[in-house]
Amino acid sequence: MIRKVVLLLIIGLFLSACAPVKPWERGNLARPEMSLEPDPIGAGLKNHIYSSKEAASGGYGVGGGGCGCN
Amino acid sequence: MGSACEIQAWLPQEIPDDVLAEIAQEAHRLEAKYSRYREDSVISRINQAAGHEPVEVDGETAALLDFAAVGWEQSGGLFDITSGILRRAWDFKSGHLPSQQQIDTLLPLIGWDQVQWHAPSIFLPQPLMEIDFGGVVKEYAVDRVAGLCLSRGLRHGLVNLGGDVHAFGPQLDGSPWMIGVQRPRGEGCRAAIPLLRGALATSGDYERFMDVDGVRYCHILNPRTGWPCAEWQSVSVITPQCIVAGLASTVGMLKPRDEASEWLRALDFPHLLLGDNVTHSHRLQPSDA
Amino acid sequence: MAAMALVEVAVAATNTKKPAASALFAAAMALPLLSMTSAPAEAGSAPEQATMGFKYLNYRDYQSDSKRMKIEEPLIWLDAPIMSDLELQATIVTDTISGASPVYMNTLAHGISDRRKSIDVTLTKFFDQFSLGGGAAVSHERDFLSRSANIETRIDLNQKNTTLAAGISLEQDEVGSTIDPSLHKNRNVHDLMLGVTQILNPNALIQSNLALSWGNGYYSDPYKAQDFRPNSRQQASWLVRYVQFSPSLNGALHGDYRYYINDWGTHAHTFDFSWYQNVGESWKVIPELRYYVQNKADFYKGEYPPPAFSNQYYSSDARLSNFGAITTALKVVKTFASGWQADVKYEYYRQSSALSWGNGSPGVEDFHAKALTLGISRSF
Repeated sequence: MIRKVVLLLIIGLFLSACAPVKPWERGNLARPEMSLEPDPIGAGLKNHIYSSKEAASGGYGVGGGGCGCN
Repeated sequence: MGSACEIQAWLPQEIPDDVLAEIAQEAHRLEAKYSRYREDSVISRINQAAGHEPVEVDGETAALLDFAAVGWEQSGGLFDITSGILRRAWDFKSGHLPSQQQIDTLLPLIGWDQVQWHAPSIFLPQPLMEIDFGGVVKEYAVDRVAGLCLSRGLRHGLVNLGGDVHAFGPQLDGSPWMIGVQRPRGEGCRAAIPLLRGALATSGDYERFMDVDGVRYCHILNPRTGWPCAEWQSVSVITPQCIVAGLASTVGMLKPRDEASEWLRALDFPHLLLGDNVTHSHRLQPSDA
Repeated sequence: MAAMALVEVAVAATNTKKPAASALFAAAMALPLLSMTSAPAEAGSAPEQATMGFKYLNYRDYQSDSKRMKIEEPLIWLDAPIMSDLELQATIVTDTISGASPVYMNTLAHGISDRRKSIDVTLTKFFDQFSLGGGAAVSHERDFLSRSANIETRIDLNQKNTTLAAGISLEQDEVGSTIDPSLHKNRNVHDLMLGVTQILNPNALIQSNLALSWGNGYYSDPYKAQDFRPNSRQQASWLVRYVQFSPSLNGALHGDYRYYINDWGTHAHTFDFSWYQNVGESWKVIPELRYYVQNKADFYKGEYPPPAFSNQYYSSDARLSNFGAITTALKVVKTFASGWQADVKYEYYRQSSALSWGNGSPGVEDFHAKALTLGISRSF
């Protein structure tokens, strides 16, 4: 199970063969809505609630406390 | 920067006073640091040490010197910050041309390839050599102020310093700024260039000049010959940074007539060249003003 | 900075094949131009400004139209630069839960009224091509205490087009029970995360994260009459996030897919899509659609009382059953020129065994929830 998932991550690394985007072409990427997580606090709240109602959790980043929801 | 110029920022939204104060502060800071006229400026320190000893410079100056080095390299030597001493021969208020002898004594003191620049120290080997950031600091200041506005969260505005502009965002309604390009002879604008985001710099033979016997001699001097350019009347270039646009427009004025557009096309910079009855544009839709 | 610029110039000087424009731009980029904040993929840098904010979540869930649980969760947060290369982030949350958990089979009906307090702090140091961060968090409620610590590093490669991230976290939990004061159980969880973010083109980027988790200790639910879960759990999540900007529509699409699997037999898929629409220059309207589906844990049995062989694992907790869930949400954000920002988000969540793939767990009642989140922040 773990092996399948690790393979998928490695495939991700091959994407770095894409043509590099130059610093002066990065205007749009710096827009707030282009951030992978434009609202980290809101996302934290959202994930906290979901992990208390659903079995799945994780993938978004390390850290944050646990929760007493069993 | 020399000339009595004011840095203007066209900021269509309400700007907090502290941002305006920062803008003014930044303009003053650069003026003090790089002015040829102030003895305590970084430039003066470097020039006073010419022929004696190397001078250590800070990170910002080092980056500007590196930029000047690349500019010299990429322009085939036409962009040269050691060419400022030619002002000793050229006095545009006098109405008299310098003698070839005057120019010949200055030419050996010009040439970026003579400068010993190894970050962080710079050494001008001959006592009368000088470096002059006049062709770079104005445009750099425009970029700095634009960056300052962006970092304070402003998303619309245009910074203008003596005709060199940097739009860090479109007008409030999303439409581009219409930048007027001056008529090289006579009053008013000859064309208006739409600018959504980016910088536009114009070099022209009408800024500081004298007409002698019906021939125009302007302040943009070729570092190799010591004489002014006489190809196009004005060159306007658009690039993401004003400092690059400024360099490109100056070099565009100095290149031989046909080569100017070729060189700018090779860089793929949108540009507008104005001559007597000639207008040449690349990747621009200028409207008649 | 100057050293980097020198390298660029040296390359430009020796490599005549490098296009002139990029040599000029590279030299210009080495100037301290205070331009845009770093693109999201990068290890980044300390923020230019400090931001403080307040958020309030009001959550209510319902089962067959009767109100069950209510959560009110105010929090305050801070994100501030310290000197030019350090960032401090802190969040303090208190939440008040009241009502009752959705009642399924054998929940010992008890009104819940609990308060949780939690604080987390992270400090990140930024270097030229990488960043290093460390954090700690504590969460405390009447029957539960959690303490955790984590470290994370992000490394830029490929002219900052690719960023690698790695993190480790350790968590120590103490589980108690308000109906059984003698219950004192522990569990600890170790997490590892590896991620890669790649800029694809000037308008798109993609992130892929792998999270692995090993937990040991007490996992059963003390509020269920019979609930006997394994004393360990291993989990893995693979998350792919994609962001695409559309200049013509002036908006950005966010699409996430996460595959989750654990050694209790559950695997789950999460699909989450949002569209960030810019309206004018200071408003954003963000609709969201999420679909989640999971299958049951091996030891889940939707029947009560449990089968006779009582030495087997058993749980009838609906959260371990087959179900699917759909969320629809709408968020509106307004940014003011003075550095203030306000946002409002409304979400509707519905969980049902009928929404699962294949056979939903029988006998589990649907539930739905509504959540309203209000936020306000100021940058200075």
